[in-house]
Amino acid sequence: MPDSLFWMPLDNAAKIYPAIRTDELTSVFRLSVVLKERVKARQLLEAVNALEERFPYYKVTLKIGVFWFYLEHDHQAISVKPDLDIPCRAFHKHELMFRVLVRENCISVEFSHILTDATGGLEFLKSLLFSYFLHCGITIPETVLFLRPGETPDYEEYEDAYNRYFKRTVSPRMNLRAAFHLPFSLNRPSRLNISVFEIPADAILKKARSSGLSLTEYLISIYLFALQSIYETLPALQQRAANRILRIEVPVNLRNFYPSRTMRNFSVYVLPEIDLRLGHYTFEEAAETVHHLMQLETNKKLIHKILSRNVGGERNLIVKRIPLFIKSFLLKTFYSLGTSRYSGVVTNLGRVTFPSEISQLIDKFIFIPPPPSKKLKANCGVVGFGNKLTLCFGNITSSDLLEQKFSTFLYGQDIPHKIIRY
Amino acid sequence: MTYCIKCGVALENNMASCPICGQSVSGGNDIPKGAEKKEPPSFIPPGGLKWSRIKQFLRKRIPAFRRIFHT
Repeated sequence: MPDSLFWMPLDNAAKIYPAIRTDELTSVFRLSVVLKERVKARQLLEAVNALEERFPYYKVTLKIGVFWFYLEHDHQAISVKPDLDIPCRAFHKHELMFRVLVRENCISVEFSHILTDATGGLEFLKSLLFSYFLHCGITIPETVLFLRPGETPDYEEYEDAYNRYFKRTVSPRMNLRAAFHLPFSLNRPSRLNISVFEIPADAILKKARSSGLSLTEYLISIYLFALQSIYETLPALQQRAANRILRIEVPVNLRNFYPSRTMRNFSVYVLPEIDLRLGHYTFEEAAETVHHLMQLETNKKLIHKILSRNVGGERNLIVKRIPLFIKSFLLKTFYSLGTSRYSGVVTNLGRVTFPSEISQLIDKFIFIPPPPSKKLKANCGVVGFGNKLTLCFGNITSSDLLEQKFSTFLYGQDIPHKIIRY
Repeated sequence: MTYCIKCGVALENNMASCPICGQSVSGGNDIPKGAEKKEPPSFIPPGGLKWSRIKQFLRKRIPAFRRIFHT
């Protein structure tokens, strides 16, 4: 069978990205691993070569159908480039939608969200990293689970898990009011600034636990609290004109709810919020609100409702038969309406754990979320490794007040941290 | 061990240029075997089946039609 016959429809989450992507709003995220020693060029290229056949579902290019975009197999080698440019750049039309980048101690992978979410990207990075270690002559214990080079990819790895778990249920449309957005002017292109906060995980976890919060809830609360103080610094007239709901988009990994080995997108979003029309929130009040909303919204039944609403829209008979050019226009409009409903994004990839013999070779992981839209202006990606938690702020404005407020809060809580310009 | 002055990766002593960014290294030799980017092997092997012309036609046309018009 010729390779060109391998094709896949886009999964539910991916369907919106081809319609909205531009050179700035690239929908590309980056995962980096910083090693304790310089990356060895030959071994890295050998490791990438060994993975060429392992992830066929990523070796695809985007094609235009009559009703939907789709992915078609492309016989191109995985691209390995020096990491000398700004992160999360767009992919060209005929390029594969992921790349490997390397510089000094750091190996990075960049993926278009059309292919996968950060969990899928992290699994790929793990495979690449372990394959690299193997080529460097380092033994990986048999107990370590990763997608090994040479294995045949399982069907489940490229299944559309949204469709597998879709069950039609009551899923009324969400009717949310527009949210507050950062009031700062945009940078000149290329706009994206990245600030990385390096925080001792034990210190911040201790604080979160003492407030009865999970780490994600704690970080969302700080983000909301920082947004509130930015809102409060605005002149009275601007305050009256601004939307007074602060809402954060938080991706939820559905693999934690529905067993799936999918390496494609499989997440939904929940939207914790505080409403400043009710008055000023202390940090404790904001944290309590976030905690309860997160507990409620990540209930399996409510998660299923979101999944059902998202997939149900795509399965609608009328929607299915709208030609792609009209659909793309509608998706763009929906996306812009969607981003007006939240003020920021906090995406926590969780803690990456390896056996100690591997961990000692690695310094940290960094997760850069896709560049924020002109409306949203900033977002935050979180990943932990060992005792290092890295928060990565993507910001396209000329102000770093959000990062400053975040940092001030952490200092106020006696949480030491280091800020690095990426 | 030397380091590439452009991308900073570790190079072997006999490398004439960095296999990642192409930056030349003074005093180096050819790129050692295995360091070049190889063209990947095909994902779906031909399988050795002999298709009839009709089957070949259908195999080519129907999936193409299905993927372009999939709803």
